[in-house]
Amino acid sequence: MYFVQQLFDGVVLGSIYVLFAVGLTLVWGVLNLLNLAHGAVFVFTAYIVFKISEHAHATGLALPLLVLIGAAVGGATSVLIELTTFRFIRDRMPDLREGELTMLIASIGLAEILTTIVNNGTGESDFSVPTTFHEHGYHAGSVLVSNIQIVVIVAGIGLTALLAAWVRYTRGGRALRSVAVDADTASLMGINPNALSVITMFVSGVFAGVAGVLLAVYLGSVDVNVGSSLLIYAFVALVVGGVGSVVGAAIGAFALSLVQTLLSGYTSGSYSDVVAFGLVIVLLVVRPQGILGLKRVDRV
Amino acid sequence: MISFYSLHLVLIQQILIYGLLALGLQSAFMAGVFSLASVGFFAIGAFGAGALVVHANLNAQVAILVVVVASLCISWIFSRVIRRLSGLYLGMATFAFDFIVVDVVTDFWTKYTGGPVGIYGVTASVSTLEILIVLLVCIAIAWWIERQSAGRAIHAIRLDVPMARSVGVDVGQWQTVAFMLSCLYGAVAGAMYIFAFGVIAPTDVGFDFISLVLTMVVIGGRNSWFGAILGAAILTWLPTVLTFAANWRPLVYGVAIVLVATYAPGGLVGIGQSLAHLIAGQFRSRRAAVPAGTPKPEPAGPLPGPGEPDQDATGAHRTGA
Repeated sequence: MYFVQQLFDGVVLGSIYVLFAVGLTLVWGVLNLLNLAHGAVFVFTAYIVFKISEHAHATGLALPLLVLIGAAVGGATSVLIELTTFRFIRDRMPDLREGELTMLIASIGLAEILTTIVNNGTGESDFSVPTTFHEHGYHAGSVLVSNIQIVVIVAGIGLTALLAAWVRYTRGGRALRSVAVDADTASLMGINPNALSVITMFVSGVFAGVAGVLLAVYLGSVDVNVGSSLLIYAFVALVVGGVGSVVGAAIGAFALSLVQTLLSGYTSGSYSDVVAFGLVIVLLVVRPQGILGLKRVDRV
Repeated sequence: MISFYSLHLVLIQQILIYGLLALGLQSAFMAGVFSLASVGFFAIGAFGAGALVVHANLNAQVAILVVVVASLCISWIFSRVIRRLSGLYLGMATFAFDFIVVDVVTDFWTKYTGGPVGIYGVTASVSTLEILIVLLVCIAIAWWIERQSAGRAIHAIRLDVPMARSVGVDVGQWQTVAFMLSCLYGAVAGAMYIFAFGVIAPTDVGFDFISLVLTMVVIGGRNSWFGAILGAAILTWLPTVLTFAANWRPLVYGVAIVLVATYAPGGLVGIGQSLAHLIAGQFRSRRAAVPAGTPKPEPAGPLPGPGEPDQDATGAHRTGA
């Protein structure tokens, strides 16, 4: 059935979106940082994993191992960015709004650095991560399903649920949420804001890294531009779902991917982006806090 | 001098046009309106003026006039739609607007916009002098506004909205004016671009371009018109001097951006101002060391720049008085 197939493809795409978007939303919500280097971390990780896999074994490494390496590389890159740049800016600029804009600009510079490394390594062409994983297609009724699609969905939904539970129910997650509401008061309550920033950036990088490896394996090959187009769609997902909320980002990501796949499945396809961005403006105007956003904490 | 000019003609024209666009963005930031819509209007200006000349056989002056009127109308309607938004949410809405413009010129009305290829072959019909005059007029307007009570009202809004309101500043009205001015400058810059270079493609005005213009404003210094122009000049010129870095050019560029963002929060203009303060301070202390008894005029302190907070605050009170 054509419709069910479209729906399924939408869910696969949404799983990639959500892996990418949760990192962005977490950092924005907790650190007030719109990290434009997130897409670059994503591509950079995919590139490093490609290099490691190529050198480690002639046929590449197994998929679970690649995902683990991707998580480590993404997390490490993200923490490095935090320690070398964002921490300095945060320390130097106590004013929230000024700091926000400065970190945003710094992240543009960081993205430039990471993408240049990738571009020089690949000669600005596509690269594919070699792996021992082999793709198989199955027929579930009339719907065509492949094993990598299942892996993507399980990773996307599973990891996001895990993160949502961590933020909701654990001590660390509570600390995270308290910083998001009021960093000063949180630090008075004995929360170390510096340590928490590192944790937040690490988690964000881990998700970007996992997403990078999975997308590279799923699509067969990726290039540098995938990072910035994913970044743009992640913005849409965040605004739709409500900034700072993990579950909101998930809802936004799946809503966006379903709208996109259905629109391109049933129309000529050129409407999908215009509708997505139009949706953002309408939603912002009608409900600035997003679908799931609770009472908006005005950051003035 | 002549050969320098002809060698660097494209660079000079780019600096002037991007300077105008950056000035547009900065005009909105001045009033605390985090709008990126100028870039979308740059696309509207470039594709609109190009299509009018190519398909409606209008001459450049009429096309620019049509673009100006159209952008004023569109920006007013858009300002009504987004008037409740502020901060990064406003940034996001205007960011989405930019992408809608890019998608529309890529996928719709492709007969007029040329689709993904864009518009090319428009006769170059503005001279560098004309671009310079347009930029100077726009700077003059921005400078004039900064000096007027309107400028003080706008500074007050940027610093503290409730305070501005309490002294009788019509926040919504001034923010709308700043927003429309910023969109207008963007559209004029776009029209200048197509008439100077004759080509525009949707990829020229995408995500990377938005980042570039935003970087220009923040690196230059977002608190005065001079910062925007300075940022545009430096970021347009920088890649041409970084040719020694060959393939690693964007990396050096990225490092430079990170360093300025980290160590010069007020942008390059901010560095200049602190240096001026420092030198003036040295000068003053040396004057003070002159033996007493010799009558000397009170040295005038360094004039606070337009972005200085204390001047802004007093200015706002004067507005309300």
